[in-house]
Amino acid sequence: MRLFLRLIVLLLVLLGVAVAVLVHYIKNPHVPAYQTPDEVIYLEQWDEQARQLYYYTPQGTTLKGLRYDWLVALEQPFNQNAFIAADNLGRYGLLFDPAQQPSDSNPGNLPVGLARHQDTDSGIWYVDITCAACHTGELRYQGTAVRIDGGAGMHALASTVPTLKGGSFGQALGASMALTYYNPSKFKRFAAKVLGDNSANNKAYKRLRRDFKQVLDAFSDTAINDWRRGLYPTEEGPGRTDAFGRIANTVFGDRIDAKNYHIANAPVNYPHLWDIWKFDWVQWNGSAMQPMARNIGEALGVGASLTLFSDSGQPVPINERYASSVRVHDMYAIEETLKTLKPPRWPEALFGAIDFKMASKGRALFEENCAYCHAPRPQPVDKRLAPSRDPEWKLRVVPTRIIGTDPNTADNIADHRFDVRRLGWTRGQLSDQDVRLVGDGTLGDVDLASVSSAKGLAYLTAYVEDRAYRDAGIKGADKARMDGFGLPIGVRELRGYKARPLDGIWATPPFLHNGSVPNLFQLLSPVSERDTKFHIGNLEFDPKQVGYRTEAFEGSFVLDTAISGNSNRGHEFRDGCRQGGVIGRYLSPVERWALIEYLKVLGHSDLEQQLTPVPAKPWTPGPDCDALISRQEAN
Amino acid sequence: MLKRLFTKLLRFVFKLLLLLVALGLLGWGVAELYYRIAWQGPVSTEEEIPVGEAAMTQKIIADAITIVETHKDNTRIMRDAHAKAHGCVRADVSVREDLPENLQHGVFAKPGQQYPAWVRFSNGNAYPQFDSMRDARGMAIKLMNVEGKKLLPSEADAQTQDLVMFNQPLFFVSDVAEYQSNFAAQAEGKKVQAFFPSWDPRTWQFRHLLIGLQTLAPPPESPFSAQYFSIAPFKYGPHNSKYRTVPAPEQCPDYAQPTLNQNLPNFLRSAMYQQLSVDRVPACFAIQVQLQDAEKYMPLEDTSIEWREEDSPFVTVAHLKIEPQDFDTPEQNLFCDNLSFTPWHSIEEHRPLGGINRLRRAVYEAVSVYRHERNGAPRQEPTADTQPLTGDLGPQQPDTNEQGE
Repeated sequence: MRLFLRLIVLLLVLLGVAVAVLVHYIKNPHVPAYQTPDEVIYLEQWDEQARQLYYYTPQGTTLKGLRYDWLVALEQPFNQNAFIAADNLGRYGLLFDPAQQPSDSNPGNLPVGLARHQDTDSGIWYVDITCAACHTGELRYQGTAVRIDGGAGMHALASTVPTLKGGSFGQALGASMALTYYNPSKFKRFAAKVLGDNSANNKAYKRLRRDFKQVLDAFSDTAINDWRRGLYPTEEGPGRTDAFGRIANTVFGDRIDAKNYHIANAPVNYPHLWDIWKFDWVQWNGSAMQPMARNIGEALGVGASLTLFSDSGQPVPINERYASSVRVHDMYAIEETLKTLKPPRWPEALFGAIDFKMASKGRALFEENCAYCHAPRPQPVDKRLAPSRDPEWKLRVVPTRIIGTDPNTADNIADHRFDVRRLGWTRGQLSDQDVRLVGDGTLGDVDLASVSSAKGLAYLTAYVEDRAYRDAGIKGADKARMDGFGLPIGVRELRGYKARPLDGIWATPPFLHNGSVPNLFQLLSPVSERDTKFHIGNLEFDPKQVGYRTEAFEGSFVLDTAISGNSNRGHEFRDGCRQGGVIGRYLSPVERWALIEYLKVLGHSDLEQQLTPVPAKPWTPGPDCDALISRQEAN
Repeated sequence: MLKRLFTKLLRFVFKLLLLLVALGLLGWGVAELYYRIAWQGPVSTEEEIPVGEAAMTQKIIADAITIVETHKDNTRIMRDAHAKAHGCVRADVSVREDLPENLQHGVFAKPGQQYPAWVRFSNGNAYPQFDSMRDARGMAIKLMNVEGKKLLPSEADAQTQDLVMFNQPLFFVSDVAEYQSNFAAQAEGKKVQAFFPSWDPRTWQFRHLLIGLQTLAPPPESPFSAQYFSIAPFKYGPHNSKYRTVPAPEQCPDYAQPTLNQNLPNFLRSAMYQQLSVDRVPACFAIQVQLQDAEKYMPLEDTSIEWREEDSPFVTVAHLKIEPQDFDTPEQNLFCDNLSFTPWHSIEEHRPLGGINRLRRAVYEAVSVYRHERNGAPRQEPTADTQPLTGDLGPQQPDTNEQGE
């Protein structure tokens, strides 16, 4: 009996410890402290009107049905301060300007990219995660924040799998909501803010509790599902998400069939958006062609509503496919505005003067070693995918076998297959879609029991797009214009990554598609000189090496390049065989510094004019090697 | 009182020791029994290539390049393994006159045929250290005047056949996968994780750890007094084989090695110098092959398993003689460092087999190309006419570059 009692006590103590640990980390999540910047400077990328439109125009996503006024009214888990306060959300990498004021498009004075939209049927205002939430960067230096519009976000917004120590926006939001729901006095204050005078009305109060619980459950269901299935084994951390993997799991797994879930272990950076309208193909692996379809696919992944089945579980008939919350007018407005976005200009007053002599040498080195892949190649009208697009840049997609960078992203997209038969599609129906399969395979080869994510998404977004246009009364030439230069929904599945032009690249650390290299100097160094583990998350910029600082700090995320999906190999300049990711000759440290100096001026013609001509050496193919040629090829 | 306590303690320690010994013996017995049962023929006579080997090979290359960069000498990039040479010497290899017909294949096809050769003796470590340190020791032979198309396409016309060996019959990893994890752990200085990569006892490699410890052995008296093994298998005409070299004192005049000060850093070089250059006494080895008997447990894809001599004996196929000579010159030492040895410098009849050999093809070339480029040295297979006079691999007289008789 005594033993039994003792065991009970022991269990209680253990439970108490577990709860204490949990409470501790909810109160003190593993994130860096927020530093309010002295000021935020902007780098002449576009005008203020364009910026505000970009920051707060909704695209039609929701956060599991979270309402805008709820988010504004939420308190932090263990105090009464607003959840949306800059010193709370700022810790998770969301961006505030101390000078920002509430506006019509941002009445809650929320951080960049947290917009709102109104559901046409119910009139409810939902939180809307828009493009700018993930595609806006910031660099911190000596107390000043340098805003990079269209740059790379550094938050863990997309993360759904909870960790003990916390650190993602979603987990913090879930904690706040749970404590609001289960702490009566907290909920009372919350209801008073949301319902106003109506909060005494018992019916309205109960209804709010019910609706609130529904959203809370949606968050925890996703967290439990993704955790239980181990869908995201490679922690994404700040600045990354497995975009394609998450879109596929959300659309094909959550909504269609649980057997469509695939391990998504390929986090990628948020690519920067200046100039992308000039690219012939977009996405890291160059898989998408039409701007509107790309944007709709992204919105579906972020959380746009989508009706694939009727209430009775039947597939939606062809003429009703597929109602969603995507907002084609707003998306088009954002896309058009982005065409005015210029690459950021190196702020000499803050980061130090550019050494034009070094930059001139750097230009010659760039021509010798980089231009082959990274120089834009404007196409003549008759060679363009979209004749009306001027300029149109043809980008190289370099096979992973050559570039040698982490293959997970390209491989997963190329290899994962999904069963979409539940949707009731037939090939005949699909052939009417404005989808163009480029490369190997035609519609005849598409097996609906085993379709690739890129193709499946292309057909799905085609239906969503059609329906959205139809509902908005858009057709003909307007439709073609809003699609983007009248382009069809092109699909291509290459096992490689595209090499984009490098204007403004200095402002987009960390580097490579998976953010595995913290700064430009290391990117130009042999792999043996790159950090295999480094700390990120506080936005502190290093203007010398050009990237984020890598040393340890409180609340940092440790990026370990040994983990699958985090490889920092490839895109390597070193002596020896040009194979397995070695793409160029060894660059001496002074050559790397010269290249970095040139990358600060690249893309700004007034700066480039200040360079002096330095003869460029010819590119060299490197030594002759055959070791990795397979046996068949060798014989 | 104290005495009694002491006695008690002693008894306890003694019992503990006894228990440990008993446990060890039991474990050994169980392992022995297990391997008796598990290791039985027949085995495949063909290579079995696991999936993912190419990707692992890439990682190993990257680690090897890291190693050569981090362990480089003041003036040079060295090999990632067997970095320190005791010397490169000229040797004569002659195929046994009375070679049985079933062994007349490849370079050993004609009894009595002679080849000039270079032989490099080395320590196994990635950077030079005192010869007295526990280490593996290597012997690499480069036969010249070898006719026929070679396996590496870029060196198809080279006239060389390499035999690359070290002084243990076994390697401490089985295959490319294990090599990769072991090597990566060791590159980070994690010696324990190299053999115990995770908490899962099924991944623990006690046996390979023992081989590893055995490999790091005290030095021989002289590089000429050790045996050297190919470890990995090779084609031998229609057969599969392993080979080795053993000292053959009966072929040479008697020589008593004078006692050397083993505390000096390069005493193994001194031993060679003493015998060949000062005492002017030749050194002799026999080159022996062991053919695979597929009915016995003689696998191709696991280099940690010894092909037992009871199952198939080693047979001498050629004699190797190192005549007295002066080899320890700056030019010859530089020339020696610039040579590239790889089992893939080979004719089809001696094609390397098995995972570790497939790995060596890529890694050896990658490291060789890398260090030659970094060292600014030409990379070219020597011919019988190549002289190390200038430290350059180029033939001394370009117009005498004709094939042997």
